[in-house]
Amino acid sequence: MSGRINSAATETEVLIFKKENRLKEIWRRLKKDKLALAGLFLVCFFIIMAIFAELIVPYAAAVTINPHNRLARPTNEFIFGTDGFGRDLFARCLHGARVSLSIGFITAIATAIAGSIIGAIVGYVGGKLDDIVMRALDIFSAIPSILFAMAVVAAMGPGIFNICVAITVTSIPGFVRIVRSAVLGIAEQEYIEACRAGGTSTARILFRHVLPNAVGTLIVNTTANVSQMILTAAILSFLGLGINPPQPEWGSLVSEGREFLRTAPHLTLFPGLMICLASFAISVFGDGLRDALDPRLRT
Amino acid sequence: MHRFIIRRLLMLIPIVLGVSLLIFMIIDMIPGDPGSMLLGAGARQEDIDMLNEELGYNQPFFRRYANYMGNAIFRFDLGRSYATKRPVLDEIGNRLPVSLIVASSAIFFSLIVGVPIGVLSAVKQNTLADRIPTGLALLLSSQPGFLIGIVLMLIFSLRLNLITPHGIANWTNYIMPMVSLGLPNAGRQLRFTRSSMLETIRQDYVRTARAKGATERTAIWRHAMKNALLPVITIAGNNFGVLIGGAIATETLFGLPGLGSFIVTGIRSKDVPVVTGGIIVFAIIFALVMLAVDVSYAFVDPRIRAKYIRRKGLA
Amino acid sequence: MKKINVTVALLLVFSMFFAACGQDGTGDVSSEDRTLRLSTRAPMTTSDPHGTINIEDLMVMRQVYEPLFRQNELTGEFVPLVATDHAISGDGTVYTFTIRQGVKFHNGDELTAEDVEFSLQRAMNSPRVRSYMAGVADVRAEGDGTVIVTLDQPNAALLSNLAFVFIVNKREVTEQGEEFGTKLNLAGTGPFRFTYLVHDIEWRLEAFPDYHQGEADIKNIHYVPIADLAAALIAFESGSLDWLIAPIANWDGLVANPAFNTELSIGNHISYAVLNHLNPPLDDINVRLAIAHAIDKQAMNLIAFDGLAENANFMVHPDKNVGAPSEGVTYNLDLDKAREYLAKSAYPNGTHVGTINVSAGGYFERMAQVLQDNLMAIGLTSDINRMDSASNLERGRNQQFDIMTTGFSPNGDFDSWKMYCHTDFRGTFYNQYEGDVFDWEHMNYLWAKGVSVADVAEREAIYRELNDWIMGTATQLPIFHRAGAYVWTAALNVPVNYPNYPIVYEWSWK
Repeated sequence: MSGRINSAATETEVLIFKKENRLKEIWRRLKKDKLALAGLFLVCFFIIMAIFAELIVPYAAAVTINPHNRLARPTNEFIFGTDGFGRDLFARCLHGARVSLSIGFITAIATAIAGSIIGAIVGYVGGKLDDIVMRALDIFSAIPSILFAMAVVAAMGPGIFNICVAITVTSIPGFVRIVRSAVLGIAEQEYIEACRAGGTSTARILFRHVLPNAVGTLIVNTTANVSQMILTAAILSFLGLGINPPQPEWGSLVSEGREFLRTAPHLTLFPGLMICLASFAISVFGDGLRDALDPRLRT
Repeated sequence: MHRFIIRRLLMLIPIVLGVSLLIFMIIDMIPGDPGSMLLGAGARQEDIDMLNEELGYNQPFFRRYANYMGNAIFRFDLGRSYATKRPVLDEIGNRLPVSLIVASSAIFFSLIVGVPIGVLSAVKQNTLADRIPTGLALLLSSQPGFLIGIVLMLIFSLRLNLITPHGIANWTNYIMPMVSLGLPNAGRQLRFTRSSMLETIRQDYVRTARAKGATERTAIWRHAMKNALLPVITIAGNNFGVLIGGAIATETLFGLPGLGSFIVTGIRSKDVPVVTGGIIVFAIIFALVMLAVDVSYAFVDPRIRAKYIRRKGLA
Repeated sequence: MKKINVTVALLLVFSMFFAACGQDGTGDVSSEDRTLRLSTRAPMTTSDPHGTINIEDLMVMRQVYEPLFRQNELTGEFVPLVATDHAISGDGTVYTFTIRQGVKFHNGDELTAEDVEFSLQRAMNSPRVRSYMAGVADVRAEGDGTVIVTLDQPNAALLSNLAFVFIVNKREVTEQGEEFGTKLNLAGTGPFRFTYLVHDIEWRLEAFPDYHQGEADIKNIHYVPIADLAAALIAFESGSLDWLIAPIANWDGLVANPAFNTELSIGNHISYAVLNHLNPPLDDINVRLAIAHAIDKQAMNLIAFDGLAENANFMVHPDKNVGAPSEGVTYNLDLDKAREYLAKSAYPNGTHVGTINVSAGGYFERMAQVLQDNLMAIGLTSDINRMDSASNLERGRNQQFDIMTTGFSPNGDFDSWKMYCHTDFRGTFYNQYEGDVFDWEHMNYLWAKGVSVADVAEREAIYRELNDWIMGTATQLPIFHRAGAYVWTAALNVPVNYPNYPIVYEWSWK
């Protein structure tokens, strides 16, 4: 009895050891890529700023209106200046990070999980299943995501959750297509054929061999999606269907600022810079991670 | 191959039925009725009821859907807009060319800019020739298109007075929409090409080709490029499809009468024939684009062509 | 080598682009035939003047079609157009209109009383415009020169309403049948006629040479839709539009530019807050009164209009509407009073008042944000729910709101506010006065009494009582009359800018 427990424990330990080893290996390789490290640092920085926003500048500063100090240029008191309502733009950018990053990460990750599972299965299994699933997805992808989001928001009412659902649902088909096409390429390769011939189960082939090989594509797309989703939210704001005011969100800050682009360009500049930096950081980190994960890079 | 294409074309029927039912249901869920939306605030209930009756909106959901789809399929008639009373198909006929030009020019732009730089930066991985274009692409692709559009307008219309900022009177009107849609897409295209290229370069057959003595250039252009193009085509095809109906902010900004803004107006006024008809047409075009993408796979990659043929043999 | 080739090719393509653009630059045509280029915020939906109530459509319609009388938006005076005169029977139920002789339709037909009869009857049967014909029992042409309109009961606001009912050519409308409105037609009598009509893209008008007041000075008008205000302003400044209602944000720069003419005028429009008295805690009159005294009109004016709008004490602008009172119950910012009322209410320590609903995209959402801030000052919290205007309207009608910031344009007569109050109109649902909270029957009675008398002073007295009744409920709180910021090119002569509908016939090239 105890022997069996022991052996099970050892097995787990071995697994953990292996995993740790793999993570260490990835981290070791990631460390070499200075740009990716900078990206990682910046992403962490943004996330920490978003989490501790309340401690840096209270939310009240982001929503308190002062009609007599509108459109002020950056000063010592308001380092990003003030917006059309006389609100502290720095506070708005900082608290906007919370909403924007949440929308970006939550929808991108949800899309990635659903998309890669479906994509891998249909790409690998092929045949009738492939046809049926892809045609069903065609129905969803046949509605442009912004229009779908608009219709859903009009039907269900505005709000972060509804917007996230609408964006996720419409971006899944595109993701499935990408994963599927990557899997199509991989599934034809010799070592997969070998696994199949060796009697390995489909699930095992999929999750141990096929998906890990497509992981580069997955990561590049997911990181691209994060900034893409932030931009989709911005376009929804441009069309007047974004987050409810006065809650700040980067996209809506840019969209609100466009009217003042000539008289007070800082209104667009700072939130625009935030979107830029965040998606830059996410992307270079994604690219670095992709390189670090790629087993073929070891040589 | 032919049978594959015919099969996919037949597949359009269930897609159109599915899309139309889905969109009919969503539009129906939007609170309100077209009569009250057209008449605005301060309208009397009797006038609203009268208008709804005139529009045929007082009938039950399934009868409306059946009528609509019956006309669409058997008479090729997508109904008349509640707001303008004009045939939806006519309006789409006016708008579709605009959308097609905008979408294809934007994709063309993004491919011309994105793919060569992407390949280059993959080949020269981790050198300055990689870092600088990639960095630039990331910066450009992370701005909303409407912001790029306004900045372009400020420069080329206001300061330089080169291009009229709105309308479709002249082909030059399409330049700024092309760039403001194409630039973010180019950034994405570049990253994607680069990553796909990196993946292929390390594939065994490329290494084999190299080992066999193929020059570096042949290895990259003949062997790697073709395979790396596969996902690039997918992305470009998908983006093209999306832009035909989804370039709403750009259409709004530049006053382009495209398909996207047509459908948006319909959603806002609960104009069921406009939204359903617009989406049906979009869906058909999108499906055709996707079919073209799938067919082009077969041309690029002989292994996939073989799969189709094998499947045909089995069938 | 290849790389260089590609670069050279790309450079060539780009230089060709810009060379071509250079030729395309908007040249300065200073001839008399210069085309006037205007924009609308939304594409024109129809060319049928009985098929729309959109303000954007009517801006174009008013150049092409004419009603019996037009009401001067600034002075409230009636300007005879298709009719030259009218007489009202002693009991106020029979209006006799004298039709102008020698008026030609754009297709060459001579206007007859029969066309007028046809047009008014057509309007009565069109759900879109029949509200303007409310109370009309019968329309009858008598001979060639007169049309008799019979009412169920006296209606002093009839002329203001009829100013929105356009006269069309019976023959052309009948010939086009169902298609009328979907394509080009020559059924109007106005100073301009359609020459080119591509829905959603552009509409061209030319001066009608046989116009009964003489041919217009402007020979051609070209309309294009531009939805985005920032884009429209750039279009104007880069010289591809000649006249524009400009966004306020850039007003100072436009005024300072010698190449432009500018005019700022206060519109016949009210931006206001609606409080839903059915939902707690707003069912408490003291909470509503507290809010009425907490609203900082000046702050809203500053943030929404750079302070250029006119703070409002009345829902219906007293100077721009017949019968509108200039005295009565008003509310202004007084935080002490606001706190006093709140202390008297069931929520002395403040509470959550619910959701402020607002349409997206305009300055109403800015008003909502300031209102939220104002309420906070007296300890009331709220959420904002922003949505597209159709959803907002529907929620308003279905009482799914607590507060709304919105606006409306009276049509020149105090009576037009009725649509937002009288329980017969579905428009009342912003405020459902029917029920046991208010003496709404008295309000309805006052509305009916107000249109039943012809004497303006008498009407004003009735409307003062009515205004006080509605203001006393503290359910509709006027905030400001918005400003119209007009800007036009120096070469254009615009004698006066009306709040809603420009009259291009009065304009000329310098």
